[in-house]
Amino acid sequence: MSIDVAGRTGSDWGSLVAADRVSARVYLDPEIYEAELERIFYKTWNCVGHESEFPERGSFKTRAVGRRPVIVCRDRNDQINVLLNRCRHRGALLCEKPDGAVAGGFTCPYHSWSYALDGRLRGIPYPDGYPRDIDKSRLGLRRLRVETYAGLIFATFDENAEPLAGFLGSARRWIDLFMKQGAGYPVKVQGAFKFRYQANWKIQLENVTDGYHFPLVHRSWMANVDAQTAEMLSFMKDPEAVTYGLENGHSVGIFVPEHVDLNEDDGTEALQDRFGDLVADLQPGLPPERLRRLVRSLHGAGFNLNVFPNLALSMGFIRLLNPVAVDATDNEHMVLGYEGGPEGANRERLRIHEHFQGPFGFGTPDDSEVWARVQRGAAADPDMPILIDRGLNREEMSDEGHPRSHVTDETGMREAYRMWKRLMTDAG
Amino acid sequence: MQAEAWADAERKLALADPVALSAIELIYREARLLDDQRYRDWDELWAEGETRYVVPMRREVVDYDATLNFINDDSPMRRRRVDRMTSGHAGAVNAVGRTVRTVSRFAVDRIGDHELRVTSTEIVVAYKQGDHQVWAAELTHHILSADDRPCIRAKIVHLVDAEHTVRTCGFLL
Ligand code: FES
Ligand SMILES: [Fe+2]
Repeated sequence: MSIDVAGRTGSDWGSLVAADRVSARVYLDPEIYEAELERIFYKTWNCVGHESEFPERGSFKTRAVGRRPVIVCRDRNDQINVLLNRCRHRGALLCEKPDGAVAGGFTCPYHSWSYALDGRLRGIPYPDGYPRDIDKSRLGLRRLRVETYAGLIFATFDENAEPLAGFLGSARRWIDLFMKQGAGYPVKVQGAFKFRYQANWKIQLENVTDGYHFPLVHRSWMANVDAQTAEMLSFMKDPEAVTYGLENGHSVGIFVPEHVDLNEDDGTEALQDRFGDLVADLQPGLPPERLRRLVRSLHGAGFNLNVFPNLALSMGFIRLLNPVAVDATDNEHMVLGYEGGPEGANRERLRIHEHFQGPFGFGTPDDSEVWARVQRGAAADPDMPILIDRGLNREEMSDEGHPRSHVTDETGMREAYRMWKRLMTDAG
Repeated sequence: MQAEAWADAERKLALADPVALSAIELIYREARLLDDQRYRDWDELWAEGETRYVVPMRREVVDYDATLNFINDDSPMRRRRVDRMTSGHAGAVNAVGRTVRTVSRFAVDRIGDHELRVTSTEIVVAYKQGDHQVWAAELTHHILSADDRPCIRAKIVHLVDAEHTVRTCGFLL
């Protein structure tokens, strides 16, 4: 298979991606980054949060889709809105707080135009300078199209984007499986780490289903956890630990096969000793099956699901990525918990998340370090290809028509770049 | 109101107070050990028994266990952190270039017979791969001064940007 890695004339970016390799330019070229914003991030569905982050009317968070800042909020009719964070008058950023709750809506800091939680323009101070019949309904905040699936909020700038359900495709089945980690309670976001790493967004996207790096990059974490947790994540030679390329760039990597469907329990798995105190606390109040179900879910689902382009559902947390420059990406790692569930179980999940994830975790900083290394190393020769062919020698087609290989293989990356190529080369 | 302010003033120690000075000296020594990445020696500065090392994500949080923190270490977890930092297998730690930090603006309160609370500011400049990063935080140390060797019972690090997007970190604050 040959690849025209030198081909950067015009916008022929499709030539940078082949089935088994991609040009390093896709990490490095600012022009490609700009095109990705237009053709990928402003065209497809981006995840902008989870409904539990907006518990009451007026709850909001500021996030971004691509490079565009947005406000995600719940309005008076309990609808979730995603609004461009930009005043319609002369462009001021409306809201700079990371999150909070407001009673009525948002007021611009400059000339105090005020907007309702659904983006409607409510008031213009000193209106005499405008025609009496000014049509306020045309001066509301720009609203993105919003659809939700299983509590996940997705937004798109493209009015013509296909419905979310179709875009997610068979990823929906995996999202359903992922949410079973609520163990009978609604899943809620308990908090989020926000951090930036110095590398292209696709390097992290690739990593979500990269089982290959795990015992190597995360050696210090593996050596640091209890033997049962380390054993749970020893998948390198487990034939049941597989990865699937789904469609539309989505993919899933199974790291803990016995936790793919947390409702299935043959009773052979021993509950981890590390949760002994919690079990002792909860035993008097919970029937044994419920307790087992809860404790088996503490590490989350047994897989990482990549939803192209910006969402990953990773074991016990939701991860959003946002490309802020060709070589810088913002990440949020939102730890999940049980709405109305036992406090002790929620705390266990917080501690598990702190142990691995976040800017000071025992895992995330090492990941960010190697991603930044890829960014710097790839620049050594932009025309030298990045290889994504691992596992092609053993990849098979599943009954549903999805390529399947071992979780240490690069099947998920191949699926993501297939979608990348489609979006970057389709007209429009 | 006035009585309270008076009581506060009574608890506040002058910086020249030998008890205050020994606590400040400990914090300077700590800064040096962290810059030199001597994490095992740093671990020796901590008290026996229950301790807490926290980098919270919100200033108003008091019950750290009920919320997500950047760091929320009790004594065993802190030792595991030191194990990781000294293992030689943590990529982010190995890649740390150099840090230099300044700790200043000390205020010392006596909060128990043998316990002081020291607040201060910390500015860390971290250099790595052609890039200088600045980290800024307000520190609160709880220092036990029972015997002749003061030690750390708790340390809370309030990053100025804790609620915002931060870089991943391969050293300690
Ligand atoms: S820029 Fe917002 S009111 Fe003028
Ligand atoms: Fe990783």
